[in-house]
Amino acid sequence: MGSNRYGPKYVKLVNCPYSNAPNAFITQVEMREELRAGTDQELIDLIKRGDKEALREIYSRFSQAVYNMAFRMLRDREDAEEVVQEIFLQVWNKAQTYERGRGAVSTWIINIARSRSIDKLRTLGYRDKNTELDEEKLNSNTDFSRILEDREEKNNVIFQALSALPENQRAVIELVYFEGFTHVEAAEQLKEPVGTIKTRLRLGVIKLKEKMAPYIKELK
Amino acid sequence: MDQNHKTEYEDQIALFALGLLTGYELRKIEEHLGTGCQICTALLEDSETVFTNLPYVLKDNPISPDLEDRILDKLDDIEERHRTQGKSFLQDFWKGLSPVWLNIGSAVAAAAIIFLFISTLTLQQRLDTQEKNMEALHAALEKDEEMMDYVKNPAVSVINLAGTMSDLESSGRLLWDTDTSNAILLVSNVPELVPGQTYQFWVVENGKAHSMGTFTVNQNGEHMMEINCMPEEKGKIEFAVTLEPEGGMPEPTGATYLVGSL
Repeated sequence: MGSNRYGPKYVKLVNCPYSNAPNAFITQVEMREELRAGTDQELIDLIKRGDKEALREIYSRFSQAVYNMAFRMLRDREDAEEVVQEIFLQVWNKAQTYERGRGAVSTWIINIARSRSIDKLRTLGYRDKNTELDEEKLNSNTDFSRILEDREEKNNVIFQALSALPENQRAVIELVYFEGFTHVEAAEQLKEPVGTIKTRLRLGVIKLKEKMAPYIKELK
Repeated sequence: MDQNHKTEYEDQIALFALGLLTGYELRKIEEHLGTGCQICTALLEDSETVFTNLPYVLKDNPISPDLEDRILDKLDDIEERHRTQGKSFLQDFWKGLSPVWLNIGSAVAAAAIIFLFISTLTLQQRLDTQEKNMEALHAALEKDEEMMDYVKNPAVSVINLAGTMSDLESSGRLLWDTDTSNAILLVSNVPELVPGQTYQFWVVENGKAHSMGTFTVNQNGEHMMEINCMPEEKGKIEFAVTLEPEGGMPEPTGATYLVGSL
């Protein structure tokens, strides 16, 4: 559906050097609206063909989420924006290698975002520079209470699911997911065996998925 | 049994989804998932769903309104730089892979020149050596020309193979002459093998993997492999490079290092 619906129109418009030429039969506004209606996968297919408007649409869909995550991990606006820039340049450059069989576009982009943020976190001295992290790591039960305050209901589901987790599972997710710790580092931080950390992470994921399940389509 | 399965595999799945497993642990989980374990496959899907949606719990922080334009400007700059430097596809291709074999002609020539200056051999010995070097140079040039002709052939499709290990810069390219059954696989930055292991290249059609051969890499993680048994180009075809026991396997069993598709 996607390629038939978008392919010929956009190719024709992009190739047309004159905006008033007869074959430019859809306007920029119409094009933008159609892009908005496209699925993530359709947009990636357009990016593969060099469509920068599709990249803009992907940016509008994911930039806030990836920026929030980068900012949460790095606690620095400039560094977080640098990560966002790297992410979308990577989406542009690596779109050819994205395969839908290996997961949703959103999963792909969020994974890149997390990976880039962790790379930045692990640069020499980054954590030392942000010393206030240490206290928060140990008091992670307070973190989620300030993470989200004014979300719409559907997004609140995740927050409520997180809040409902036992504190020890929530602390592991906080350290491993939002702080970019490895499971070994998290074990050291929480003074627990590595095996315990792994089990708590698994149990936390299962409980979160159960809570999210009725809303998955909306959330995705 | 159930408890063992939990600790050995299920407890590892969320870490696998987060890219936190390496080495033996990574390979063990990949192999286990490869067996089709329904519990772990479902757990992996759950983990990916949860980790994809977790960022949405975070409170929105304001992004610079010009960030989007800055990204697009950066893309334009990169493209412009490529244009002004007059980089052709071929130049990008050579530079991207930096394979030793592509410069073999100049390397041999340089070696020949150095040899002329420092050699203490007799004139006859020098001439003999030069002749040998010239032969090698001709052979290298012929090989380069053959390679250039192959790449320039419009029937040759270039398929990029991406690395699956986030901490490595592994990459590969498959130059596939779709008019024939010939192809050349080029890989770079792939980890060196330990004794008893080999890399194996697969063509996957309709979910069925066909081995195209095994190979090792040099100290720079590079290798070029010629293939003359490629399938017909029809439908979706995927390609993968996996790590296997020496001698290869009838189907993929080890960690996947490179993937791509037509």
